[in-house]
Amino acid sequence: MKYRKKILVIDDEKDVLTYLSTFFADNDFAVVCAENGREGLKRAISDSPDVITLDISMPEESGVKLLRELQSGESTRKIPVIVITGVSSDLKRFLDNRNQIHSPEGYFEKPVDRDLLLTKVKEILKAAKK
Amino acid sequence: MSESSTNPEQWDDGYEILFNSVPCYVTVIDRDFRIVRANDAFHDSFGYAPNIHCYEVYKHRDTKCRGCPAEKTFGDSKIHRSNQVGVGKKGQKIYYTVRTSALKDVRRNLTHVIEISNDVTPLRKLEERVRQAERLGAVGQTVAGLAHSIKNILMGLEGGKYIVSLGLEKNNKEMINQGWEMLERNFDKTTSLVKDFLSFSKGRLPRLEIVDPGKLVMEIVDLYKEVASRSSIELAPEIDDGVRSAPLDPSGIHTCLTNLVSNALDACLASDKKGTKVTIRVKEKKGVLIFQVEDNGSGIDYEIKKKIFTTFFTTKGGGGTGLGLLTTRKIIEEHGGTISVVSQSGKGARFEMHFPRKRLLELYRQSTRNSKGQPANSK
Repeated sequence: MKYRKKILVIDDEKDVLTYLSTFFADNDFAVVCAENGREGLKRAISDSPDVITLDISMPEESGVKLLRELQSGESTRKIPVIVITGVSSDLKRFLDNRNQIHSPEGYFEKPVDRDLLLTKVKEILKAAKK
Repeated sequence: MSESSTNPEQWDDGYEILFNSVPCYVTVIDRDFRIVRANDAFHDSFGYAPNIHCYEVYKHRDTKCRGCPAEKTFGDSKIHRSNQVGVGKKGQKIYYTVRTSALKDVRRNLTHVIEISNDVTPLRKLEERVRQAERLGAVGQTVAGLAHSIKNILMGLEGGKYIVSLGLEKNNKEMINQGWEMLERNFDKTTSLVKDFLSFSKGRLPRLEIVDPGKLVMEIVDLYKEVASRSSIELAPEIDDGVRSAPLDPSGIHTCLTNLVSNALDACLASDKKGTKVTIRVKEKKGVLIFQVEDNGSGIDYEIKKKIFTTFFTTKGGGGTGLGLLTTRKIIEEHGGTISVVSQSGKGARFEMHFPRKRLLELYRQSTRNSKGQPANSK
């Protein structure tokens, strides 16, 4: 049986979760969803996804904090993260310039171009294979 | 002290040097409000002004100023203080704080008043710059928040469209329905966002009427009782006997209570508990009219409590616009009131709106005065 790559989608917007999970599932990914940062971290540890898409602006725990936790966690630090956000493009500069955070592997602003997102995910997975 | 030294018009050189070296405006005014002496600092900023009325020089006006501190000092011999805006010799605005003090002759007759003023123009300009920066900051924050909400709605619409197309392609009715619901939900969100944003951005004075606060509470209970009962949530009004009628904007308070009750119902729905309850209470304490909306739902944790009154903050994901509590706070503040929240995660929440009656009455008097001054057909 063919192994399907696993993607974890973290977003507090239920419609965004539905959209991205349907899209990735239709493109032959195994999809795991989380509606907030805390659940996202748990899922990242328990499900060991191959890639994570992360919303930055979430009410309970900010995506920036989660990104830092993912990048410092023993079992999660190697999982590539694609940030998908509705906040301004200044955030990319902010993430790129923080000492405590490595730049994420991908950065997209909502509404995302899903074909570009898929290309980015494939690129990341291909690079991880090497 | 000799007679001549107490007469400001006959000061000797020693006093003159001292008078002119003081780093603030000093003028001496007689009972006709004419400037009989002015120091160099005053001349430099306001121009030379012998025997001219102080109001002509300070303010370029023909009549005495209202609440003139010098007039008060002539009346009671006491020191008076006030903040004023004058016009300098180049036509520039000068902000100054003035203190007036009685100047008496040897027979203890109050003949003149001395005015000592400090120029606070640079400070005022700085304050204005800070206010301007705050205003711009608020505009920036609002625009950024609006953009964030719109981007999420667009993503929801895009998602709905995609899922409907996929459903059609795969002939999957369930998928078509799911996508269609997403489209509907995000269209509704656009309407709510526009409505809430317009209501938030509307800067207006509350339209105060004498209303029964208990009646307002009952209106809200009537509005929500069916929704609450469908979700097995008890909705209970508690109206204290001592609550009297008060000047309130009924439509504004209605908006505040609906926002708070709808949040409380959502918090009950989000909780796993059985026997959830929302209480809308109105009471009176030490001249303050208090509305409370209390629930035993999911509660609010510390991190969220810090942000709930900020623009576009929502915990409801797709369900909220993030403007409800902000609009509520704005309406309450327009009534001269305050809002606070007591809550713990998992233990429910209590929102309180406090309206000091004294302030409500002042606003009511002000609004009736204004409406009397308006032409009959004005709105």
